[in-house]
Amino acid sequence: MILFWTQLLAGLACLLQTLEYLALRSYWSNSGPWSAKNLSAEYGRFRALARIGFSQHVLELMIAARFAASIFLLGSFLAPQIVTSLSLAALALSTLYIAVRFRGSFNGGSDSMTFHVLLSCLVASLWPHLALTSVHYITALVVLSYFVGGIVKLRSANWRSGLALKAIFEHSQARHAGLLSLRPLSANSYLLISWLIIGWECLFPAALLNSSLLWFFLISGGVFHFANFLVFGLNRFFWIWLAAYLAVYLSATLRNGNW
Amino acid sequence: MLDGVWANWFRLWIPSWRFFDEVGSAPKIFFQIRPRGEVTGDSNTIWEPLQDKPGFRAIGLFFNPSGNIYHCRSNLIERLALESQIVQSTELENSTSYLILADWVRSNLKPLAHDSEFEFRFKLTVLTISGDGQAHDTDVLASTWMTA
Repeated sequence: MILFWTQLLAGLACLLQTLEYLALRSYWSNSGPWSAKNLSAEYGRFRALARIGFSQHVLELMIAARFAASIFLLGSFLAPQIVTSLSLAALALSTLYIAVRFRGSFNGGSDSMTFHVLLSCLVASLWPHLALTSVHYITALVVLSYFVGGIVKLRSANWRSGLALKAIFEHSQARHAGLLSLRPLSANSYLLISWLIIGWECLFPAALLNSSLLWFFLISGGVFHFANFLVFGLNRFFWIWLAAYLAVYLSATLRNGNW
Repeated sequence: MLDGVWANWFRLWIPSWRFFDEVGSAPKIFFQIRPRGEVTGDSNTIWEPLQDKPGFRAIGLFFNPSGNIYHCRSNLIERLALESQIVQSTELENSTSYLILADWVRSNLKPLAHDSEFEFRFKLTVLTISGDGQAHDTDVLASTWMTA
């Protein structure tokens, strides 16, 4: 199974996410802010249906299925192929359900990447002749996630001047409290870091050119996501991008022969 | 509003590639509390920032529920700040974003109650950056008084 390590890491990412959902029960239970009562308010004439679909019990069921599927996926080297496929399908479906319940996504881009990695692994598991296509699809997602982000930043005057980064570091609600409650940096530091980020993101496709560049971009990408965890607390991005990086490595080595 | 609801069903299918692409509006939540039944003028009470940001924990790399629900709440208030620009206030008070945020503020203020009954209200501010690069908070939404 060509995507074995990717699906193993995706299983770990899903297990960690599931444990977090369990710990957040008071927020999505009937008496919490994300209760079915509040969530169904925007469904108009489908309100009663939404209230049932988003009820605490349905989410509990989804989380239980997700927990079991993550464990099965982590033990997939012992299990028959059908169990792996069912686990991947359950994880992809529950990821979609939780995202819809939390009004589009629970954790932004990491939900989307989790969903696409799981779908790709599911396709590879059900139709082995499409496994290589799945690997290249995940690679394309990773490369585009940085490249498009880099181009958008390059076109933004606020990013080019360092102002956007200053606003994110000093005012963003997303910034983590605690370890890296950074002191404001100088305008030149923001400018330099902004251009390093823009350059790194725009040049990421070069990772597919040779093995030295691949290792440079994958290692620096890992450091980038770890830094995002330290500053913004974004742990989910770290794990699911790590899972996707394994597909990028595979895709690049397969495309370029024996590096 | 229903258009937005159906967008929830498709958002995951479209990969998001625009992380931190622009200076965000960086909405912040402030609150006021008063004993239940007491009537105060608008200017009598100071708005206090809601301290709901979780602290850093190294274990958070593996298990970070408080950080992730905070991230989810940050997306919620950005959405509410946006909705407040396009929806009338009466409709806004019945919107899902408003109801969730009201319950979020209520649950965060519970520890302040000390068994006494009180009412609260909240407001949202967004960041505006003037031409000289200075940042200012501008009010975009103030709720009515609610029971805690």
